[in-house]
Amino acid sequence: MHIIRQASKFLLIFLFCSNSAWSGMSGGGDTGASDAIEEMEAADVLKLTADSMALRQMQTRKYSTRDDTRVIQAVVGLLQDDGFTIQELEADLGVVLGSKNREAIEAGQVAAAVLVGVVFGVAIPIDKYQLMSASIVISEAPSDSNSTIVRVTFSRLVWNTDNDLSKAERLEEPEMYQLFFSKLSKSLFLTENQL
Amino acid sequence: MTKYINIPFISVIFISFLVTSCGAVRDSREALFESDSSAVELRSYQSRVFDTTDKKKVVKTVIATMQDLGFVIGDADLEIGVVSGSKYADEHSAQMTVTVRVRNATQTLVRANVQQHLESVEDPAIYQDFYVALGKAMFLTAHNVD
Repeated sequence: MHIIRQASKFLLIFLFCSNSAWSGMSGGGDTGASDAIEEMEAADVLKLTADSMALRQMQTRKYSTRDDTRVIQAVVGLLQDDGFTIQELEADLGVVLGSKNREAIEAGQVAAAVLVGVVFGVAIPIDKYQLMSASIVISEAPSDSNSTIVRVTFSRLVWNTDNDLSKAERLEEPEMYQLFFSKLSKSLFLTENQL
Repeated sequence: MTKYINIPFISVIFISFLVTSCGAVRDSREALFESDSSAVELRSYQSRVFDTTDKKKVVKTVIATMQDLGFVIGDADLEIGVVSGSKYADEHSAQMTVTVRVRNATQTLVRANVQQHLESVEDPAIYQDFYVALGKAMFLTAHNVD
């Protein structure tokens, strides 16, 4: 009997969690891009998808300079401003990778965990800390040899209170990218152009 | 009382059934050098040859193609000719490394390998997808390694 009771408890928790996770995802007001990722099949890992081009547009800006060193220095400065440390830098290829460890505790999750704890008497893991990364690639514009293209991708890995990886995701909020590029424009004293 | 005595016995039978049915009686350290395909087979479908010796152009195009495919570039080195990246898509996250080296006076060899779901990807069709995208981006045809 005890086992059955435990099992039904876990089943209830599972239903509760999957439900809240689902509503959290759809309530995020995200674009269609992340939905497409959810549906992505393992076999399609190296296929270009319908949203590849939209993603490229969001992540890319063109600056009218060919001074790559200056652009790399500006990018590194911006990352430092936002508390990133530089993990990788290959000037020949224009690749910069920055990352930072931050807390990932969210009020909504804490409330849900407390509720589950009170109702069912068990502790469920909540997100605790995250590794946020910014990967930037600088290259010559293919159609315009007087311009430089900057493409940035933000992503994060999140671990929960059990130290399990709970999320591994690309960050796709357009505002994050707009903010990054507007800071870069200011730092370079140049106007950014969409592709 | 009798029904409690049987519980350990039943669980031993159940666990041994589980272990044998999985066929998983092996040392997990063996994964260090394991592969479903032979090294020759693996190289043939993971590699392609392009008719160019512009290594920098190839490496830069590999980076751009990986970004288009949703990978976050984690590491790149022009001298060695290596690019690594991760694709973050929760349950379908993947890691990929691509190497580029000039093969002879006219050709460059590209080799990709991918892991996903705790396994190395050994489906030639998946690598073909990558080389289709890379070939388009380079305006060059990807040849099989002869």
